[in-house]
Amino acid sequence: MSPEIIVMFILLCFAVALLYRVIVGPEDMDRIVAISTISPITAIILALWGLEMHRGIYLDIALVIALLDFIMVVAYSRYIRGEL
Amino acid sequence: MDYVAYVLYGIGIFFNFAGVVGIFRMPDPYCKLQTSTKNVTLGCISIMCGLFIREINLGLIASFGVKPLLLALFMLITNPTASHVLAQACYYAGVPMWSKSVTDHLKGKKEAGSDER
Repeated sequence: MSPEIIVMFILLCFAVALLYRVIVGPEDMDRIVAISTISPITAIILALWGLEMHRGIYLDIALVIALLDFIMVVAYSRYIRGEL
Repeated sequence: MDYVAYVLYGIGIFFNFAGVVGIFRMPDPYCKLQTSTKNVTLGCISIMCGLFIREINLGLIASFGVKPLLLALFMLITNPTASHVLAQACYYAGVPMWSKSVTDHLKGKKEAGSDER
């Protein structure tokens, strides 16, 4: 078992634990903070999986996920300020 | 050389863990934003640097290139920016702060860049 698999498993446990905060978060802001924390973890899991599979295409997908997370957070911020 | 990568993985896991614990334990969204952004950004960057070292050792430089460092740089730029935008929007949307908060530098100031409100 390579160390990437172990790191991936630990990060997956973190992401699943954050889903609890997404589902039962007391306010909307708690949910959006938890989602914006899940996205970099997902990008890292994809990059590690690409290293495990010896394929470089997963890094592009990780980059796209990080970009979509940024756009999502900025769009939500503008939405709750009433500017969208 | 692989041990450097393993140490970087360990640092990244520690900081990711600290960010997750902060999201679970902090009382209001501002504190959650602070802890999650700092810790998860540092954790992601160190894991990406470790992945770059591992990639060189495994001989995958042809297919991976400098994309891990590019991803780390991208996260270093966008993650604090998104957090700052979200905290500012959160403040002006009227999300209450924690009852034991000590200081509030934005109290009484008008919102920058907007006419009404």
